[in-house]
Amino acid sequence: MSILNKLKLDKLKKITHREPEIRDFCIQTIRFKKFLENARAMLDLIEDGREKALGEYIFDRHYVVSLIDSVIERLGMMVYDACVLAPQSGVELYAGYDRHKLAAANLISGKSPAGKTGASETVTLTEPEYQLLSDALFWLNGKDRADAETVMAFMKQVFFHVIQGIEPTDAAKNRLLFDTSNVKATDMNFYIIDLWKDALAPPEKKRTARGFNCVPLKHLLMDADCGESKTGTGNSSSDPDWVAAVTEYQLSLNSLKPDLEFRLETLASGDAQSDFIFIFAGKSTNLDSLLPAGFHIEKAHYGQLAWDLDLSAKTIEDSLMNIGRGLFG
Amino acid sequence: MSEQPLKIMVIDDENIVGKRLKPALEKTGDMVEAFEDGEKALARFNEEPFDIVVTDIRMDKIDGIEILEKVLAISGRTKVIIITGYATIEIAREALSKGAFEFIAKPFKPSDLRMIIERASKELRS
Amino acid sequence: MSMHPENTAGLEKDFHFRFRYETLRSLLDKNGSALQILSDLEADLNHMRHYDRRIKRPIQRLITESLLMAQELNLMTGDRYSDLYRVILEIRDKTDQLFSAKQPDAQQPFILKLDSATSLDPALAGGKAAGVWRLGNRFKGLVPPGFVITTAAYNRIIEDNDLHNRIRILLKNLDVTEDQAQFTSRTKTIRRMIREASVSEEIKNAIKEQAAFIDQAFPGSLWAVRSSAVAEDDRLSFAGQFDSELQIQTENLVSAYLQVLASRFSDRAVKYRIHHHFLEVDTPMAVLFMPMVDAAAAGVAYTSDNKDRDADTMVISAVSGLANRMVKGEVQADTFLVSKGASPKIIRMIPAETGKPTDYITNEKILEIAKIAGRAVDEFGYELDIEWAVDKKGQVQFLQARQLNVIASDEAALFKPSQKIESPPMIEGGVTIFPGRAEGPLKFLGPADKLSSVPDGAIVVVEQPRPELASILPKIAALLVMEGNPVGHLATLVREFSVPCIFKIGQNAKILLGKNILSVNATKRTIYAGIRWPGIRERVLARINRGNRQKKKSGPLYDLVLGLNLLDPDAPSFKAKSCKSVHDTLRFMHEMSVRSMFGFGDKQSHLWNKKSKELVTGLPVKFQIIDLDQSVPENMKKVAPENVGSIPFQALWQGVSDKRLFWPDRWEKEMRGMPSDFKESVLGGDKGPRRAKDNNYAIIAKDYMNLNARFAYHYAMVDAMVGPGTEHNHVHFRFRGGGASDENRNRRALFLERVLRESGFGVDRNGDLVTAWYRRYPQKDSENALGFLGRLIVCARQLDAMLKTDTAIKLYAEYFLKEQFDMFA
Repeated sequence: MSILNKLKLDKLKKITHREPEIRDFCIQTIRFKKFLENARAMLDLIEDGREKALGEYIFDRHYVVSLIDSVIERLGMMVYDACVLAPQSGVELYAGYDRHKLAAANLISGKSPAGKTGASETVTLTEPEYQLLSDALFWLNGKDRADAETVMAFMKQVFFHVIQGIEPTDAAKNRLLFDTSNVKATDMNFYIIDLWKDALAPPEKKRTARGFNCVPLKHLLMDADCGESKTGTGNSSSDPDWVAAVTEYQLSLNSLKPDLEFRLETLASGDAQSDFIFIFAGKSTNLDSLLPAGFHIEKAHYGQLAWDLDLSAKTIEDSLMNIGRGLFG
Repeated sequence: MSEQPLKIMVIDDENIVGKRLKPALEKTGDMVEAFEDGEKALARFNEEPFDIVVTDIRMDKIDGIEILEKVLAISGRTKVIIITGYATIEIAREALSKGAFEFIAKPFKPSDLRMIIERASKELRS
Repeated sequence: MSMHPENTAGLEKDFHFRFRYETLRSLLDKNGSALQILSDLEADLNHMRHYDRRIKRPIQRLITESLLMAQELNLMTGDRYSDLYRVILEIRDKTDQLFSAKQPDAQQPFILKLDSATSLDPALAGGKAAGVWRLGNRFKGLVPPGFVITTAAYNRIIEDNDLHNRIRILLKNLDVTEDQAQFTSRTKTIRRMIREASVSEEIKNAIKEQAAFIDQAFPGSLWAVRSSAVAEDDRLSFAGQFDSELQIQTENLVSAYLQVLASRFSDRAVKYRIHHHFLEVDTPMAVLFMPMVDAAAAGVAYTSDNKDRDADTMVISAVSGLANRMVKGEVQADTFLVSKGASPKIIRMIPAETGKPTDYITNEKILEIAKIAGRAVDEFGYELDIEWAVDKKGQVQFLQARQLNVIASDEAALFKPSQKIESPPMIEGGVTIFPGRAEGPLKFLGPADKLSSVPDGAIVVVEQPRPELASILPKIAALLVMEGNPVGHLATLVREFSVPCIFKIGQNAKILLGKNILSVNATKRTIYAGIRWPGIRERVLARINRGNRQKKKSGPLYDLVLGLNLLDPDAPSFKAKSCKSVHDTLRFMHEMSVRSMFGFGDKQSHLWNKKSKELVTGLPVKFQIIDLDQSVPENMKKVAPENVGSIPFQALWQGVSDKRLFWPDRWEKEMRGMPSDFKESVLGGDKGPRRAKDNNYAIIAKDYMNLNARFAYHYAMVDAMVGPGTEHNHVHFRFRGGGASDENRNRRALFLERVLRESGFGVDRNGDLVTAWYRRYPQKDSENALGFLGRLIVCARQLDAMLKTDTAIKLYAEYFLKEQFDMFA
């Protein structure tokens, strides 16, 4: 193990390995949720810029500069969270971040290279603010950008670093932790962890997966077969296959099965502006058949990333039920 | 429903605003005059008060709050709508407390402004 | 990028440093936005219940942020503060419980009738209407018919017109603004918004139908539309705070209704609520509609004589026609003193004007009123303040009944003064409205004089009582009125504000003109020139300041979220475990993160020291600069301010180095003697050995600065991010002053609060700790704000000597805002 990794892991050891407490798992999960919130906000920013460029909006240069600023701010927050979750990737992540900071500064100060704009635009870019917006969008998510990466591409890298970072340390160590903490569900093959309550103290009563006060979990399990275990009774002799870390409106679902790499993250609060579903899966998982329409799926050599942000209260319920059927039906 | 066309004045030192707002607002049959110079706008307003005044809050020569005060002094019934580029609470408070009808933050679609104007015209008529 | 071992090690160290810096930034960032959420929450709780969904979200968000901040703090300090986790998790647990508490029913009636068989809920109908119902229910025919448009209707109108948000914006910071013009402008706007509000058809129809129904029995009546507020007619009455609309035609009832609602935001009423710390959400308004009595005579009855509580008398005031002008103090009433009991008798009659006949009412009628009033007292169980009328047919009607304010007498006023002062009183006599002694400068207030010209602690003399005087009651020492009705709105208010007061001191009060100081004994009804009793002045000031000091708010949400208990970072109790609220944890974490950065006893601090450079300047300040992104040329070990390529730093320095500021020798000496002062001023004992070099630090980057200055007993912190964008520009300022006494420290804090607010900062003052923020402003404005802070920090140093009195605060604040820095020499 390199000095670098040792340094980082030593530091993180203090948090996660001090005593194997549920609390540390909870805090890291909450940190991961924050990371996703920041990611969502970032995607929203990019979408907002696109919308303003397409529609008949009236805006000024200040809007574009703010947009660029906000993107860098969010990116910084994402990268920071990523470093906490996957410290071994820290150097690389900050290097990437710094490159984008420089690109942003150049855009704002006007030193940016012209880039590949103009040709495919249908709107006449006579006004400088519109030109700036167009350049900014190209930096954010321009297609065929051969020279340097886009913000979007960088984001995806960050995502994968994070997933890789949290996976190995979690699985085996956590199993032991969960088994001793009374968080096994009685009705299904799940560990259910209440992110806030269990962090404070391990639960006294056993809990059920279906009965738990978590909105997304309820929807996910709506049509699921009761008792994923082969025995069919509540008494599952086999180890649980899933970890569900929850709050009233949030769910972080992770597969523990050795042959299924799958992770679902969702916020289902009923507020369309913040709700989301993010899914991470291994290369071999067939997401196209599992996920309903509306999901944006990205494939890379380390795995697959999918998300849906355009979620009204009804849509998110339906999506979750759909996915649940696919996973547990 | 009998609806008289509104007389709307738009004031913004950024040329693009008037350029884009004028045709958009005139679609519904209202009369729109756009100004880049606040003083000229006020002079025109003095000749003939408008029903609605849409003004940017931050301009170099004369700022939106001053325009708001002067417009209301001439014609108390005129509804003044403030366009703000920096949607800070402070500005909203000052504008509202000085009698502005509403404020709208850039970026906005002309149709958003249209809705505010409709609300304002309802109050004018009641 | 080659991965040579040395390079790797170098990269790691740099990354290590970078990560620590980014952790600090993340924590400070979160802190800043958390403080903003807290401030908004405080305003929200003025208008919403704690179980309102709109409250739950920001609170949960706040707690999540502080949990993550705790993780960041622990990352910075090698897990030193893991206690914080438990504290924060427990707070979350408790707030969750609060939120799941049962909520009251959603839909409540918009209209209630006065002849309803079931009693009216004062929370729905307001105190006045509930009282009127009770009278009518017990004494048939005593009360005119009528109906109430409830507080539920009021809330609905507020919702429908999105008024709550707009009112909230306008009311924000109103409690500290002493700019009269701004205050009146804001309240005027709110009143206009309410008058122009749209009323739902449901409410309109309710009014129309009930009015039509009652009209059948009383055709052609005009209406009285009166406020019936919640909290009105309880212990603290809202006497005269709201308007009644009288003589209203049936077709104008809705606009009269809106007019009455608007009066809830009259200057008087708003000041009253602020002074008594009433929350908006706790004081909605219902409105009572009653047909007007065709009055031959009307007036007010107090079932107990306040002046002389042992006597068994009732005071009944009467005028011919309607009572409203009498109650406002515009018209003098005839006063009847009537004995209490089953067979009341008129003991005395004091006419309004000698010689004027009281032919509008007979003695028998007065006695009839007294009898009924007596029975009403038995019914209610307490003394009453009743508004009555007698119609042209001779029928007695009671229009309103509320609890009569019981006053505490000031026993000390009856003591003899310890020194024998022989001079006789200049004026004797009149009617005691509220007892007690007072001393202060005389202020004659003519009808044309502005209320704002009345200084704090003055003894005010007026000819006639006017309810507007209510707005100065909180800040004056005593009130003397030449004429005036002992009943009537102003009298009631005087009692509530506990201001020593004498009415009817007579026209020859003009002999007081020209006197500077007066001493007043309102209990004995004597007025003297000059200072008469030692110690009275202080008591007066204490009473006035008590009213002005922020009352400690309480309630479960305040305790768990907003309340700040951890005030003194130097105290041994400043620990994670002592944190009780979210605000405490934020304060704690911020303080600890900054300390950790300056590494007292922390192994990592030598990293910082290695990177730090000394700031070289002609001014008597010592600063170490820690440069994060080569904003200072690399090779320089000592740095001049102009070499620091940090936007916020430059802006602050502009202010600090402003040539108009004065730097006395005293300061130089103290700065040179830094280490010992420093040891004194800073952190409680257990932080390890301090190095002599530890002084003021500024961590800088191109668009960022975090500056911590400790000098003598003061501590100032400026954290700023300023760049070309606006979205994440912020300037945060924190100041805690040391200094001799509590009073001094508080005055300095008040000074800071004032000047900061006037300059557009959001401000939170907690004892002597002042926190201010200026967020999301464009670059230029943020730079100006920093320059302002630079000058402020320098001037704040000199304040000890200057702020010797409370009036000095205002004065010096003016000087500072007008940039008259020579006054701070």
